[in-house]
Amino acid sequence: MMNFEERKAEILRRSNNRIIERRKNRRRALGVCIPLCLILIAVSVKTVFPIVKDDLQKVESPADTDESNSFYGNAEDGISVNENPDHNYGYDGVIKDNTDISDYDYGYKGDQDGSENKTDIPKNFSFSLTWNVNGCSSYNCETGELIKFKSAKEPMDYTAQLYLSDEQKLKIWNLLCTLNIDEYPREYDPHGGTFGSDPSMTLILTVKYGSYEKTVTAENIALSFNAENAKRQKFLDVCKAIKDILTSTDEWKSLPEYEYYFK
Amino acid sequence: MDNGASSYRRFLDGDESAFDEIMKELFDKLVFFIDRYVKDVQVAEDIAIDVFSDLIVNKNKYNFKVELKTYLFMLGRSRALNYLKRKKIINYVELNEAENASSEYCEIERIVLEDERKRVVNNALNLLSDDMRVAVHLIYFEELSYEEAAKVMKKNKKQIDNLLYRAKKELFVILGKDGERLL
Repeated sequence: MMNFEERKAEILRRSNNRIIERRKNRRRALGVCIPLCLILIAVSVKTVFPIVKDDLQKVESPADTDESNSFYGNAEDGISVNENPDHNYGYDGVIKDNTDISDYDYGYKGDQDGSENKTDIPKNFSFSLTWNVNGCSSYNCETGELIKFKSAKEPMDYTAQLYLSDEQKLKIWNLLCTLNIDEYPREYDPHGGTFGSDPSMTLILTVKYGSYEKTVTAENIALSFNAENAKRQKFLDVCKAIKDILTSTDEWKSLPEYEYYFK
Repeated sequence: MDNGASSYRRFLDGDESAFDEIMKELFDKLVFFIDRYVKDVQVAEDIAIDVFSDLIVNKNKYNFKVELKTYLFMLGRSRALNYLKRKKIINYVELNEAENASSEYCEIERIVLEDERKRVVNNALNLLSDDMRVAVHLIYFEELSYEEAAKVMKKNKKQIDNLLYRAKKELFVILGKDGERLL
């Protein structure tokens, strides 16, 4: 058997060894756990974020849901943008969301306060707007075709060529920048499908530049430019502002009055 | 000394000499107790060293709700049982090693059991079952209370009482009339 000093020395030796071993194990555990946690976080962010983003877009507007389809009526009765030739709003039904608007750095990062940003217009920028309040009107910036009343007996009487000035284009571009159209679904109801009106209103806004193209169709919505929340209001405000710019031009004023106001 | 609790407090506050006091007071008794299980003094000493190093490594584990002696005996019993579980084969030792082991046991018995009467009872304990032997050791030799002995053995007070009652009856048979007097 050991004497007292030997026992004490052995106790202290074993204690030190255990403490050192414990510290080593802790360091090893941290060395494995921390990278593992970081990997898990990175994978979950990469996986979950796009799903959440899509869900939020769907939740924002019921335009893509069955409930919203019922607002527009059954498929047999409703208006099919692509199939019904009587409703040609100057939109060829081709959607090319090849790139995200954020891929183009124009110094704009989604400003929502409505202030105008004096940014340069990208090359090949064009837009088209169809609005249907009195009759059916549209403007295609690419072709310059301004139509006041498509449903007129003589539609050509209500058609003019309008080439916007750089200042007007810049103004419209800045309006579109504040809108951040990429956040809106392709079929959209700014009133959330909560109410309708007779007559109804249609707004179809298309933005193109480079290889990017996005169309937002608000078809047969309630005839009102007032919405419940800021995002919906923004869409209506921008469409109305563009419409006001177009209808303030001499070309528009030179076109005759509507044959009728409500059908 | 309250079985080491106050010394341990001083040790936790930084007094290194307090640990020496605890060792001097309790180490041999712990070895003697562990030997009840493992029946090998050297192994018992090794386990006792582990138990005391546990006091240094896990300083905050002892919560002072029981006496330090009881706490050490609890740890010692647990480690002894773990050792017995791991020990799957019977070790055959050379005769001279067995003699050495026997002499070490006598030495520790002499250190712990100064009382001649206790030595007589101690010799008879080897004929009892493990639980009875440990219960008698804790109550009679270490003078723990029934509650503390129950904590060490992880039994309740009634079970300890029963063990002691049966142990006394058997010791009476083993030791004869003298046995009753000794207990």
